[in-house]
Amino acid sequence: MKKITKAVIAVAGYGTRFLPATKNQPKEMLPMIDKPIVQYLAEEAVASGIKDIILVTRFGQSALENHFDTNIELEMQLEKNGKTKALEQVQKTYRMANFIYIRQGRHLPYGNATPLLCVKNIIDKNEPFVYMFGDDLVKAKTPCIKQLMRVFAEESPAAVLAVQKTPKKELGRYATVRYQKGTKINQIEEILEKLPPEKAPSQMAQFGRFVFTPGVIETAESHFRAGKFGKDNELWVTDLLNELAKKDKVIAQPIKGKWMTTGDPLRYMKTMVDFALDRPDIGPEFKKYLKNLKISS
Amino acid sequence: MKITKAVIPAAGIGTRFLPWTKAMPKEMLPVVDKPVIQYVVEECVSSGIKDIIIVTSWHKRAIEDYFDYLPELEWRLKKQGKEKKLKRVKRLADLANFIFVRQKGNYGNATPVLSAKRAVGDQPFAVLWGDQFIWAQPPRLKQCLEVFEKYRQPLVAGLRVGQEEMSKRGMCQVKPYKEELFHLQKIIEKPGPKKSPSDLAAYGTYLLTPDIFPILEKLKPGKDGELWLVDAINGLCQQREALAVELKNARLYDSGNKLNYHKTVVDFMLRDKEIGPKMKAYLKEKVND
Repeated sequence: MKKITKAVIAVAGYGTRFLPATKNQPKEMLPMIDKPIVQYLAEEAVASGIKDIILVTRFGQSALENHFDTNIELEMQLEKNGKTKALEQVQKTYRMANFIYIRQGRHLPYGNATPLLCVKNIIDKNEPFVYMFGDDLVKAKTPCIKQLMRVFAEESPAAVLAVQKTPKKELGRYATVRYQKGTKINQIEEILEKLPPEKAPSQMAQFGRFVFTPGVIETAESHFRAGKFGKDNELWVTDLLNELAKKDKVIAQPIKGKWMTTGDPLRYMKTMVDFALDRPDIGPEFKKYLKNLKISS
Repeated sequence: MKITKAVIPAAGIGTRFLPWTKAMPKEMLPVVDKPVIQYVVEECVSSGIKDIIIVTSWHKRAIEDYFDYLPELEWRLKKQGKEKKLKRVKRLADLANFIFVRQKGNYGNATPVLSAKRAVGDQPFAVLWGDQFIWAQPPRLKQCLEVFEKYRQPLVAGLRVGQEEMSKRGMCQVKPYKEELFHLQKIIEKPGPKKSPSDLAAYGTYLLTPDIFPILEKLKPGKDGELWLVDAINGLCQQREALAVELKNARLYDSGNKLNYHKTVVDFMLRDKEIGPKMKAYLKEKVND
């Protein structure tokens, strides 16, 4: 097996829940303080040793490509105005990795595994890779991806997925895992999509961070070719994981850190408040402001 | 004569939000589910403005597309049966008659107004900044337009501010006229509390007459070598009477820097019927952390 150097980020979603704000910008471009959400993902990947970042996009998302590109007019203007720090920030976005873009065509099915169909010609047959959902952020001392890559290197499974213990009342929104009895390496028996809390096999919910062996792309392909789709006629990562888990090791790794999603307006704004409070430049003042609101419920 | 045209300068880089503003205009920063500039545009429309002249530059295409039809998206929403979203997306293009002008000339906030000259023509017009809005009851522009229709004088909107703001804003030197109306003598940029002539700050809302254009054309670069709208307005004040209106029931929402932007977002999400109650619980927990 080759070394892991590629991360695939799924950013082809429509962001309908954020309309009209997302009318002509992808939801992954929505700001988180002063950076688009997707930049946090790219930075997490780079901090974990990733060299190539493959963004699976769709029609109308050129803002993403422009963000990770050079921007000569802007750079010249910043240089002329002596804004060295801002210039550094702007240049860092295109220097940090090698960016590759693939468009997800309309002929492909909906689903969070569909981007895997799009990257089959970029990932080698013996090359494991990282897969990320564009709307999940993780606050962690050791980058989440790095934590998964360590487990992958130690156990050589077919796939590692990140999970986090989640309050019962929220479990219905996510996929939850059933661990094998007595497993010492967090090996799973199966993973189940969006079950009501009382039926969920555990409180460990999957979020958008994975390390996959290239076999997962083959599995996705075979499902697609056979028209084997899951819930709502979509192609789901969970269905692929279950197939892998039948014959191979699939590990659901609890992450040290905090997963926060930006997938809908409420959670996006909660995450935004959380990140703003963390920032040394605006956090203390912002906290004072929130305190003065004297919120009563 | 009624004012039916508004100029919204939106050509600045938005350095304070870099790198986000690398590929997106700062006027497109979302406040809950709408970009900041939409609040300004909707205020114009609800105050009776018909033509909205947005002064942009090379990296602001997203604003033009936003206030246009987007057939691909409309087709998709229709197919998914999302009628409510479809309506909200489609009406953006129908809000007003949008005119886009590219900014040319020297640095400074007077330049976009001069760039809009041919689009404005020979009639009075409003100028509102594209990255801040004022929530007021009735809307601030409506309050200003009512005064203009009565007095036919150029005017600026004012808000009373505390000492801290006096070193950040343009402060009005005024003589009392009647109630919330003042004779405007000049605006002094960021004088600080000691030198401030009053506690009335001019807040990004100007109703101007076309005789501002000859002044703009001859305007000399001021502070930092830039062309300042305030300098031109001060020139206008010397030529003719001008007014300052103290806005009633008003509150400024500024997205010009990160802290103010996040304050604005919090205020608006708390007002949102769906998100507000859930956010309240979360903020309470966060504050007590």
